[in-house]
Amino acid sequence: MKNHFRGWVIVAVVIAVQFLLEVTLGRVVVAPAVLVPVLVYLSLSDSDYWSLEGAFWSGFVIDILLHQPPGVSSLAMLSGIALSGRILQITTGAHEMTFLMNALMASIFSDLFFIFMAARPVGSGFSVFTFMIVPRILFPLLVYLGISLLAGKRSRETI
Amino acid sequence: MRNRDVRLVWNIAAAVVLLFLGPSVLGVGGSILGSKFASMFFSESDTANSDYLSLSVKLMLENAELREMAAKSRLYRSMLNYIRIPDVTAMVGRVMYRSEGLIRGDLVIDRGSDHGVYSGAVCISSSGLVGIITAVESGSSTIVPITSPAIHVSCITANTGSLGILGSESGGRLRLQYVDSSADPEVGEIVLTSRFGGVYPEGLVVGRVVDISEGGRGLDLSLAVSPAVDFERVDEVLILISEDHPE
Repeated sequence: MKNHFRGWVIVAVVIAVQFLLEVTLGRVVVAPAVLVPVLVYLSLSDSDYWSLEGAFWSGFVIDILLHQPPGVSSLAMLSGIALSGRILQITTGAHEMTFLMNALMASIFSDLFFIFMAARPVGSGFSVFTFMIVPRILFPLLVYLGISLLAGKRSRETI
Repeated sequence: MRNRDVRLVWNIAAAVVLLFLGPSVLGVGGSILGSKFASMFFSESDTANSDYLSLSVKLMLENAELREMAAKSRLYRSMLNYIRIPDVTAMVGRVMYRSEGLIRGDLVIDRGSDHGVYSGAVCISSSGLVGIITAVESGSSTIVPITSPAIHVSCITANTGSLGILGSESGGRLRLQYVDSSADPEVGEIVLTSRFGGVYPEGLVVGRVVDISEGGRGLDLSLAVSPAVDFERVDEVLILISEDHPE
């Protein structure tokens, strides 16, 4: 059985960051969604374990930390990552656009699933504020894209 | 089905189970852990302080209740001092509202035939005679106050023993009429119910003499009496129930 210790250390740090973002920026504007892209990245680069067991347990921990109904984040992330994977099934390999598309779609589906399931009564959570998921999802991906571009430019200059 | 799909289904099923049973499991688990490890976070003194705090709140509430009961007890004792007839018992009635009358509104109280009240029962307050019950329902009764034109009371002044018939005037004032001119009443005397008449017990305070004038024909005296009871403010009355009253 594969040892996932290193991956779990990364996920634990990201969970802590996501928690801190939710209780600070999330209370004021909107918290960037960093956990789903990291899980997508790990599942693409490492194994399916991170889109399944990783999504389940990290969602459970986030729910406990944020006093959300336990299981909602797990279900949202599992469903979101699985659905985006199905849709992008034809795209394979480790190309960066694959990751970005995967992370974007997984984040969108996860947040929509979350809003659908976490509201009481179920499904009543959609409103004009649902559009707040756009900056929440785009911000970390744009940061990632920016860092990638800068890193790529520097590596080309080094060569 | 591929291994990945099976794991996905299992994880989704676990998340759904968690969603439905999670709050209960966390609640039960939390209370079990809390009861086991509470002593690690809360010292004995905290628990003792909490006990003292709840005890002091309980005692404060009890004190407030006792003070209210003591105040009521004083009021009822002062009311009961008026009763000098052995075969009369008293019952407290609370004034619910005042009906609109010509001179002074009748008082409607929360005691009726279900409580043993009967038409003709005399009502008093801590200040003096209030009136007489004229209409009785199962849970309420109507008191016609002595300031009503329909009420006439045989009265006597406390010092000089001047007898007369007390009636009402416009504006809620009382007048003791047909007083013997040889009785020599004084202003400021207390007016009490007399032993004549047979309706009102003897010795109930009715009011105080404020003015003395000659009667209509000049053969008797007419005394203006200020009522002892403030009929606008009375909110509790004592109903005198006679043991041999007609049912």
